[in-house]
Amino acid sequence: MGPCPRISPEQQGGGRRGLVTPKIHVVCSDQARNGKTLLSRIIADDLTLIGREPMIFDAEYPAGGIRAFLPERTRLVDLSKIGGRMAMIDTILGTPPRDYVIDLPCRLLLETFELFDQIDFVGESRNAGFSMIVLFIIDRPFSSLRTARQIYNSGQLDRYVPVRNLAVGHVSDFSQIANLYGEIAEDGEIVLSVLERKVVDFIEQRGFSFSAFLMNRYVQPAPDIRHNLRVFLNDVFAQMREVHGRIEVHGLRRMGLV
Amino acid sequence: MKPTLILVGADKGGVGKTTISRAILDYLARRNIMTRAFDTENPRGTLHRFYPNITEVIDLHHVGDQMKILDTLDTANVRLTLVDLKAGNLGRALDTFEKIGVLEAARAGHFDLGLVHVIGPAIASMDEIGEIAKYIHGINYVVARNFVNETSFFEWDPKTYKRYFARVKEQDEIDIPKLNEMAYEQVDLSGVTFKDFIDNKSADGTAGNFSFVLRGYVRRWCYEIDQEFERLSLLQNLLVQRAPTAAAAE
Repeated sequence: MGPCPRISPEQQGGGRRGLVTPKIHVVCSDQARNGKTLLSRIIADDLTLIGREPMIFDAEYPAGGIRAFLPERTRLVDLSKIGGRMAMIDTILGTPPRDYVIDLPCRLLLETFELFDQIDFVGESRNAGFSMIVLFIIDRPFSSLRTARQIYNSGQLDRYVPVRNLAVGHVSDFSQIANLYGEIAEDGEIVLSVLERKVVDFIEQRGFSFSAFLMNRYVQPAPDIRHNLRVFLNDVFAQMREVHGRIEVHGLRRMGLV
Repeated sequence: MKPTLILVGADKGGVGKTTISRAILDYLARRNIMTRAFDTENPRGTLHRFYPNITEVIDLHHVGDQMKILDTLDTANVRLTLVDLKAGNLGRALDTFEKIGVLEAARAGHFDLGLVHVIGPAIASMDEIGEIAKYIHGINYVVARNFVNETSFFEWDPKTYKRYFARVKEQDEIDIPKLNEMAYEQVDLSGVTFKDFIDNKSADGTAGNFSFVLRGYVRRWCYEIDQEFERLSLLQNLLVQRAPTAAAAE
């Protein structure tokens, strides 16, 4: 089965005609502990910094993951139960559109995408004016790339962005899988560079937020930590903006506006 | 054009007869086929609750009610008449229809007659197949295995299966897929058709407030059940000879 076409809300003719399409970011992977929550935090803080006021769904039930860092905008949901599924999906589709970040644990990956397919969540969110972006962190085992491709081919996703976290690594001989990777990276990719241990320790403090740090509302660390973290964030923010920008331009181009 | 009469029944209770009757009416309504239904669960029919405008509650053992169904097949302005038989009434209803010549008339081609026999996950349900075998030659016999409320069905052991169907020469088989319990309950509580639930419409026609997730489950279930119905010549003939094509009453 070949890759499914990516259809923007603008192409569909549905959705709001606002300046910026509200987006649902699904951050996922088939493996644990490879940076899903970190990426979710960065996306949420990036959106916060530009005034988009995102809402986060933390599906790491019951312990919670991202909730420890951004409690005021995070809702913990149990996506293995129908009540949790309703809490998330009915909120997204039943309230005025805004940006969302879904931090999905690996154990619920296939089940959740199967649910999305069953209830045509992508199509309905498109009709409601959203664009859905799936960010899949590809881990070291080859099976991770295989699962990434499985998700990529699983339905009419709006946008699919593979993520490589260099701190975790990827399939040992990347040149061997470049073609397979290239197919799923047509909407761009995100590469997370390696952070020094002391930077990681700094950002892993409970309640830490990147937006507060960048707005100098957080106790500032040593200059080298501050510098390295700023460089890292600027790099990821730039990549995210490029992904977002590509989505907007793609939609405008399809509408013949650019 | 030949009318069609579909009987939906089972001797065992709680196997999903009314659910399947509703699914059939819903399937045809979504294809703009006009239908009418008789609910034999008198005095208060469950089917009637979901399709009040096209359903009449009757007592099949009253001659007057038998006439309501059978003497109007040609004159009713609908292609399909569906009878939802009360639990425990299948054998008796077929016996009655045999005695008054309904089955013979169907075999002679005066109208299309289908029996949708709903069976649940129990041998008692399978035993019914042997009990009704004598009635079903020459009519469309459909065995509907109902998974809607069950997480699993007993395994169909080939030998057992063959034994139960030994006396039945021809039958179609369909599987009614499982529907999420909460979604099923919500449709039931709201008293609307599956189509209206999916479309988020209340029983009074106003906008509903049903969960998108539950509507999604029902939409998917209807899609899956449609795939099953599309294998049944009994229903497909109705679509081929589509007339009248006005929107169904519900």
